[in-house]
Amino acid sequence: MSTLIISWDDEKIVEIEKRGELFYSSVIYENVIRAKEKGFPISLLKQISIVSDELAPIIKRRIPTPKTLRKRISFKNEEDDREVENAICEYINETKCRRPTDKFSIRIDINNN
Amino acid sequence: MKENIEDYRKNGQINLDEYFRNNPSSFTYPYYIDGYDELNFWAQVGKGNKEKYIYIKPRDNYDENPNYNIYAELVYEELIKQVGIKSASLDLGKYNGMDATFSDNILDDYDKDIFLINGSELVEGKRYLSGTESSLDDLFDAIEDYCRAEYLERNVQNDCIEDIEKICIADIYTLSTNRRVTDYDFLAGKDKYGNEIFKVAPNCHNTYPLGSNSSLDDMYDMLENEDMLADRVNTFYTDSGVPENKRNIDYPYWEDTLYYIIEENPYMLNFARNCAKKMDIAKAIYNVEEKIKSRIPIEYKEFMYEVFNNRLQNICECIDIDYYELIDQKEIEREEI
Repeated sequence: MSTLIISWDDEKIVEIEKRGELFYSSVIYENVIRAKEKGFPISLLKQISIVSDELAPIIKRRIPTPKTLRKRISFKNEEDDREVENAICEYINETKCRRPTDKFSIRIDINNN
Repeated sequence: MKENIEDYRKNGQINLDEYFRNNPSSFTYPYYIDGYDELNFWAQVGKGNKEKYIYIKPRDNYDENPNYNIYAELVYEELIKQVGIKSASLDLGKYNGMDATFSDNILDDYDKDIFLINGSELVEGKRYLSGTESSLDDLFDAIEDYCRAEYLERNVQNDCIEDIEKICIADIYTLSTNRRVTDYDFLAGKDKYGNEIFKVAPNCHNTYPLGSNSSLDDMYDMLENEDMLADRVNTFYTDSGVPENKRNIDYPYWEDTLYYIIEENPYMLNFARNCAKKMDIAKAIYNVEEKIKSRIPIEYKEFMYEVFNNRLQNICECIDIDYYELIDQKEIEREEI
């Protein structure tokens, strides 16, 4: 099971788990209070649904689509979706999707339990 | 090894490929890319205390005329600066054989606790609207919601709306065709005094201005045929303008959006009139040529003059300004300079 973790200036604020086709989000409230003190606009949380069949736009915008990645990396097998999926995970964990203009960061935690 | 990016300028464009080849430490994969954008990305340049990020926007064949587009974008930046709208400082580049523009991080000029929020991030949180399909009213509603949720004062909200309307008017003058809610950014966070800020960020989006979504053939046709030019100029408009339920189809979309903004708002009418007086295409082209240390191709310049002046003439009719008097006035001012 893997969890997508969204942080604001190093405060972990949301955890998202995928079960089947659905995404389950939970807000870590005590950290949101800390993030708020560091300037996090709390109203941006309204984009994130507790249960949803797709990721919130605020997350999707920061993660490259398979099409984008295919334009940048040559894959061994163009049709191999798993290879692209791995490349996306690698991208997320290496860059934390943290642009120079914002304080959001995203990472994937692999939980083997 | 040349470390200064300016040393890589050839025919007006910085050869980014060569720069990155000679300065490999400044460009390492993975770099920062936009989820929705296939080509744009951030790259790190410079070393030590000169280290910074630049945002590179290469153009591929998806654009009708990428080479014209990059010049038009720089002229657009100059034009909006003439009426007091802040903008990221753009430059021309070549990346992977493609024409490109690039700019510094606009946050370099602000305190470290300031960050950007994209317009779509405000709008999409509300009623599941898509950032690409939303109107001005949707954005204004979203700003109101944001300010209320963050306990910001009413004047913060009003200032934001005013700044957006100013950008809209400037876009109408510059025939921008690609301004959507996703193309507005907001500065948020705390300044060095701990005060909460929220305001419209300097413009940093490609808006396909000055007829740059026309192909090269179209461009030549329009230069030869005045009627065709006049017809086509009316079809250049931004996507996020007057809301559909307030639309008056008797007017072209750009004109309807202009009336929507200036009607019952004397301050915006005044701003629109000031734009007519202050926007000077010749000066803008001159400034760009000085910046890139090269000349813009003559046919591009001719096209810029034609479309800009055609639109200016149309706008003058809307805001009760005598176009020919205005042109004479500008001519006198130029001679005085």
